[in-house]
Amino acid sequence: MECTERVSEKEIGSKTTQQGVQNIVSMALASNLPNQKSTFFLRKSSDPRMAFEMVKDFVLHSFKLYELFIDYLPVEIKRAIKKLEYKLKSSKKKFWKGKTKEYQHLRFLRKFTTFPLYGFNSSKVYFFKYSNSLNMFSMT
Amino acid sequence: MKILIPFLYEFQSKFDGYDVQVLKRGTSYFNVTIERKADKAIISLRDVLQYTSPCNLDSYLKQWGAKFTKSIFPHGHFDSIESMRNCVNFPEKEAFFNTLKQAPVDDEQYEKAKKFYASQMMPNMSFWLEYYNSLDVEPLVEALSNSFAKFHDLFSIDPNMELSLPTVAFKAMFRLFDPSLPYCFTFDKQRSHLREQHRRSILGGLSSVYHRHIDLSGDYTGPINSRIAPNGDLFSHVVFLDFNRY
Repeated sequence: MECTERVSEKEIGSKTTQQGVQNIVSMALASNLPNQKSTFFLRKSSDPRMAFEMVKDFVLHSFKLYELFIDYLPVEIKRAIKKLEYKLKSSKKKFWKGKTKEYQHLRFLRKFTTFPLYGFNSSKVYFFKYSNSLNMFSMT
Repeated sequence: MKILIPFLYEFQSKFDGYDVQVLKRGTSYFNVTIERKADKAIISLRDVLQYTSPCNLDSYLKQWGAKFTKSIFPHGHFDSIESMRNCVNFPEKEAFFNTLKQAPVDDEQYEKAKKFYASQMMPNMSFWLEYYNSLDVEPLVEALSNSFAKFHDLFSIDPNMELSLPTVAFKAMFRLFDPSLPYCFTFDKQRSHLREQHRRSILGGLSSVYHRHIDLSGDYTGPINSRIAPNGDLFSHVVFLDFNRY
């Protein structure tokens, strides 16, 4: 993800701290799924709605990749999930021996169906205020 | 992710059937999930830095054998996407000044980028942005695949199933443990001298040094969290205790 930056304040507290405004302008997505090229999303205009449109396109494209990802998942895992889900839902008994174990297995198997998207240094939280389309940032 | 999350919540509010969950831990968004409720399809947004020791992108890519072509982009030069599209010529060197590091762009890097821009006959700087973006993501996929494959080869662990390196390390540790051995071991009274000998050889351990920005100047220029304590009072003094010494 790339943003344009406008620094509003410099050197607050230390030399490596600055405050400003970040506006999202583009996103790129590459995958190691077979025959997939990287995809680039560019904001159409400065209109704040266009930033949302770009993120929406990114999310919907990610779900398309998810479909492909699931296609490559071994059928045994999908079958096991369905089987366990059916067993846990359809049982007339409220409690039975091994129910917790079966939930544990189901949770483990569902991890295989989660589609991970990785960013680099994307998780850091800096204190910020969010208003309209502007993101106040403070980066150290 | 801090920029993305407000848009994801907007996405959730405008499109029925999607659920966004944010898991924050410490100073980072640990895991952000978007679930399509109809088929329980889950996308999980994570940070590569949760699976490695602290480093920058350049060293991470080098470490995991991915080809990385470092390039430049004038983040502070454009204030809108329109100004980027209107910029047909490669910007001047001053536009690439790094305000965070307070450093100018490297001459060689700038000339290389400028030549490449001209050689590709890019119509405007938005095309350069596409090129710049792809330089980041494609090698990252290669590096991440190499890294995760190594975890799998050495420890039979798929890091995709875990959320961070400590969990991966924890599982790897137990996998390397001989299952025929008892789970815990301690010396009995008869062999207490061995325990004491072992403890004598411990010289130190891991330590963390934390930074806390506190502004006691009273001139109201610092960020609010540096001036006001959680109870709403102004900070008057700071005490930093090292509990290892007590």
